[in-house]
Amino acid sequence: MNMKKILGLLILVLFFTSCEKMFFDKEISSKSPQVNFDYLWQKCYENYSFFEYKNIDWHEVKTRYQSKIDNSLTNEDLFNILADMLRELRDAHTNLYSNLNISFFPIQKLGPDNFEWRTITDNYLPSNYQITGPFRHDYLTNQNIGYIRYASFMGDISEIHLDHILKRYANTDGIIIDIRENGGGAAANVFKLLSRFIDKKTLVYFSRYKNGPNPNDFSDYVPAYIEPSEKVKYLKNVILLTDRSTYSAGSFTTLAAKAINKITIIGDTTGGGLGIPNGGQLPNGWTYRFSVSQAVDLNQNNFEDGVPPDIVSYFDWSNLNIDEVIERAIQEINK
Amino acid sequence: MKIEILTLLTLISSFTITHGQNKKRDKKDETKFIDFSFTLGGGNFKDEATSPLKYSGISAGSGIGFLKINDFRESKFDMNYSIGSFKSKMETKRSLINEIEAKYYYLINLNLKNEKWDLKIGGELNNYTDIRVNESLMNNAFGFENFFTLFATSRISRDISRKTEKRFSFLHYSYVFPARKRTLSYTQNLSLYNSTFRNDYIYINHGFIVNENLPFGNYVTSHFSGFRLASQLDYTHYFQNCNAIRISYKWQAMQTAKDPHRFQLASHKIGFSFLFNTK
Repeated sequence: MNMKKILGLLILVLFFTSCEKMFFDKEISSKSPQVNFDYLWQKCYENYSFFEYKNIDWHEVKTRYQSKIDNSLTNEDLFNILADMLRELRDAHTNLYSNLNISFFPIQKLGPDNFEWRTITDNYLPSNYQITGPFRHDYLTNQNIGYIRYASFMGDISEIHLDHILKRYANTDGIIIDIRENGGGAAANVFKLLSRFIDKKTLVYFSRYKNGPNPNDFSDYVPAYIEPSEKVKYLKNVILLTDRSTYSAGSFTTLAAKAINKITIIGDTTGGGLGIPNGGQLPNGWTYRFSVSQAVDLNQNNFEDGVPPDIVSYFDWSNLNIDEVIERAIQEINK
Repeated sequence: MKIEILTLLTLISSFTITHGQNKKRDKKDETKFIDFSFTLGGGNFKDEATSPLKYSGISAGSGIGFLKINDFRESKFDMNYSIGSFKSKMETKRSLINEIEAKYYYLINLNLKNEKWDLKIGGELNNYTDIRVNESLMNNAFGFENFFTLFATSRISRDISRKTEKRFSFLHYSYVFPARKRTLSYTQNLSLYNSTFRNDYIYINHGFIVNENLPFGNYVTSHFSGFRLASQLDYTHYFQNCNAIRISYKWQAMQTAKDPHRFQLASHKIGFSFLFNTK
């Protein structure tokens, strides 16, 4: 192949490399504090789902935080300012991730600490309580009641786990499912768990999501149904224990439980977290997320600030041998 | 959209008429190849739904194709897979991209009545999917886009065969390059119809929160949407046993519509193919 042909080929390759540059939209990559501030604020404005519910004036927030931005800020300073701005949303599904730090909103501080596992293991469960998958459980001491601790919705609940547990407590007067300090996890586990406590298809809540950049651009509400499981079911009294640290999938479970007759919720209001967290990257490569959907109960009540219990009960820290929330649950089952 | 439909119909009609004229001469003189190919290349992508950053990287892949060719027409069915690792300029985790492409093209020779040059036109149906994984994007960790395209295809080829053997001496060694059939081709693909299948505005699967476990629950198909352009430069070297090798430079660029969020991808690949003659 002679030089003319080789040159022609090279020109073609270079031509298409240039075409590619014309083809791509301009990339917004920058470490500039102003660029990243503007980008994050704008994305929140377009996609966060609870401005109206929480009565947050996001433009006012911008004005306050804009005054802190200048291009001489260090990465750490910028992170702290952006994190503080996100905390204005009062939403534990809101985080800023960088190599230096991860921001969070301390939802548990909205209410008292309402759970102490040591009190339960010392006073309510045998020392050889069972561990089945993510569940820790056994009969409550001196009671015909099953106690099931579910600490996190992370990972999958297996049908075998639920069959074993519910078969074991089939002849009890009631069971207690303790999701206090359960920060959430896989939403699929909500439906897997609750499907064992119903005997017919049940509408449990509605959810909608942002579908445009304007504050009120939402989809229609989509109903969430649960079908009864074909496996072992428990249709007697179920008590669900919650507190301020019951969040996300824990809150969804609590919200759905309000639509199921046989479940009574005892404890403190949950932490909320009824919006799906989603987000993306900033121009400097940090990632962010915040809530982009809303869920409401069957009467269209929005419980993003927390799903209230049916019976309020608080842990009394002056006596670590008694869990008042469990005592109240026992009282409810035995009445 | 009406102009695109009209153009599409015009192209199909003229193609059908021309093809009808050539049909009788086809089957007997047809040569068939199985094409095994390997590619190595680089590319860029940008997905405004998840990031303002452009990711660049390299990829490697392989493919198999079934080619039929004679003096009057050429058709090929191809399947290709490649995998690549892409990174942005900023300190971000890598995105792993899997590309799966299936295509079928059909070209007819316009018979330029020139010994060296020939020109073919036709069309290509192309289905391209990319699957992206980047854990740092959390609920957006998994990305999926599909492009289905009807291309208008044109290919110009030049016969650069070595008609007689050539002798070459270097120091005390002499080499004989035997006569060989060789071609150089340039193919241009322009999208006439492009559809995209992609997650909608908020880029989540809302279904999992309402107990509807459809994997593409929030995905939307958009017809006559987006754009694709592709081209390929091939050097094909035939052996005496009628097999061949081909070295290719492949370029393509594609993008979805801007609304709700644009996805853009461009790739450059060098391909090495072994064409095994089966007839």
